[in-house]
Amino acid sequence: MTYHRIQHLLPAVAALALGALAAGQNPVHAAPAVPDISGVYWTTSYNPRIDPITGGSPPYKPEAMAQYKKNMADLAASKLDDRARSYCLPDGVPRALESPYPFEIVQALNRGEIYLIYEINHMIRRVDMQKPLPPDKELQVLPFYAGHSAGHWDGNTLVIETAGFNDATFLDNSGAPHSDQLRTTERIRRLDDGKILEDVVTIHDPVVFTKDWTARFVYQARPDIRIVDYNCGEKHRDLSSVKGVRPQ
Amino acid sequence: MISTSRLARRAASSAFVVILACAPPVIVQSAETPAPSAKANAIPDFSSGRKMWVLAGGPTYQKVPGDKGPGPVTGTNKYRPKIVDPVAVTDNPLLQPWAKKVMDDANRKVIAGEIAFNAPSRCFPGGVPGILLFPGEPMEILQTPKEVLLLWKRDAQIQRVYLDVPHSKNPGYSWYGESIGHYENGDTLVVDTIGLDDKGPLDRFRTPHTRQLHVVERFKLTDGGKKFEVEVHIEDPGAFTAPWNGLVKFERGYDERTDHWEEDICAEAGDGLIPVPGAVPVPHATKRDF
Repeated sequence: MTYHRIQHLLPAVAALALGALAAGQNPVHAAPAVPDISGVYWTTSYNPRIDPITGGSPPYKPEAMAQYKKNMADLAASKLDDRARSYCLPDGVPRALESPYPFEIVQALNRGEIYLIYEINHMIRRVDMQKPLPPDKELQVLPFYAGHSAGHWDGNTLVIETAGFNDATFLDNSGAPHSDQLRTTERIRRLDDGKILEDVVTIHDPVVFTKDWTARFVYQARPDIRIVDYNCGEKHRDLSSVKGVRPQ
Repeated sequence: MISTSRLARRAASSAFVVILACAPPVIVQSAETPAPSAKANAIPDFSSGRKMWVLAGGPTYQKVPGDKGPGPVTGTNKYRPKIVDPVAVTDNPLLQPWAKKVMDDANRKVIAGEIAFNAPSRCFPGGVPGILLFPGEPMEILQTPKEVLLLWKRDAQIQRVYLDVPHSKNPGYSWYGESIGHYENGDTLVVDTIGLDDKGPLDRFRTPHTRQLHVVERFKLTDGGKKFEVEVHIEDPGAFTAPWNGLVKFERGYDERTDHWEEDICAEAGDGLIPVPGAVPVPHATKRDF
């Protein structure tokens, strides 16, 4: 091997070694230094409706508001099957953000990925930290409940762009509609010395809303609990500590 | 002008100094305690690159080479092609009488034409160790310093392994139980699982078990990390006359995985929302959790 080729390899070798040493481990865990937001998080309050951070109601277009009212009436009359609850299909985004169940953030830094894994319906989101989202046309070939996510760091804040949704779930647990044009931008950061995680999500869906709007979710860091199995129709975690959850 | 070779030497020198400066302190070993080799302390890489792991060698346990016991329960092909569901050979001396009776009864139903219950095929969790034998979908392994996650594309089923911690005093019972683990020899992940409910499958032959089930899985990289095999050790004094072992093999799949998690939702894949006559209904909640 020539010196010239060695010269190009050395920075990578040094970076790999430094990353490994920084991780205190091994190249399997080696990674560039980024904020650590990994862990288990759990909300302390629940509201079936996702409301704008500014107060009031989401800016529905008239036809979308009509659909929302119909959804609510049909859900109340059991004419509409909420399959996220009956067959435990994925809640999608942003609905999963308001779940009264905990979730986990796993930072697979050596792979350039962050995983958000929700206890409810064991929904997995894989956030690609290396490439931006492909164009919507590509994503809509394979739409998902949880969409497709790509992220980057803005200082201590993880910014996640998600698009490529299907329209088979509600926007929230009250029956709010959304279309496959939905796009969300989440800004996730730790607050209060890491005791709290904040997720501020901006919702863009020109089919349903007259303008973009933003909601905020706050979770407690819970290193004392683990995510547990969730199988549809079985008894699950006790949610009595989550304010706003009504026993069914 | 600095020559390329001088640049290379300078870069080498700088990198070496940086590495030395960041190196952990040297620990002096006693003469009785040989320093473990770097290889033995290395953490094996189960990430499989951009591929996913797929089951190799069929959806049944193979006998572990050198194992002198009777080996895992096997199946028979004598009812094929009329009967395609697995039919177990139940004369394995490992089976306690009640377990043999349960399997004989299940065999009779399958031979009579009933659809055999296979948990992951009907959207139930695959359980430990049964999910290893689900052939239809790939999996990936996510490693962090504290946790290893086995993520199955099928229904996003997950087995979590907590590293270098003891079992809980009261783990309860669930489909995947409580798995703890550690690395060995630079190429192996050892996973110890208890707290398994009696509902999760052990294999495709409907071999039953009790809540006394204790499973130790040794995931060992082979072929330079391109494959791995799992030596599954099963103890259940409530169902078997002795502990037994089985071998499962995985290899990297052909296709690269997608950048984003590819949802494969069992309950919407036709057999969930469109009932299959004679099959166990897929999991369904008759009332909401919240």
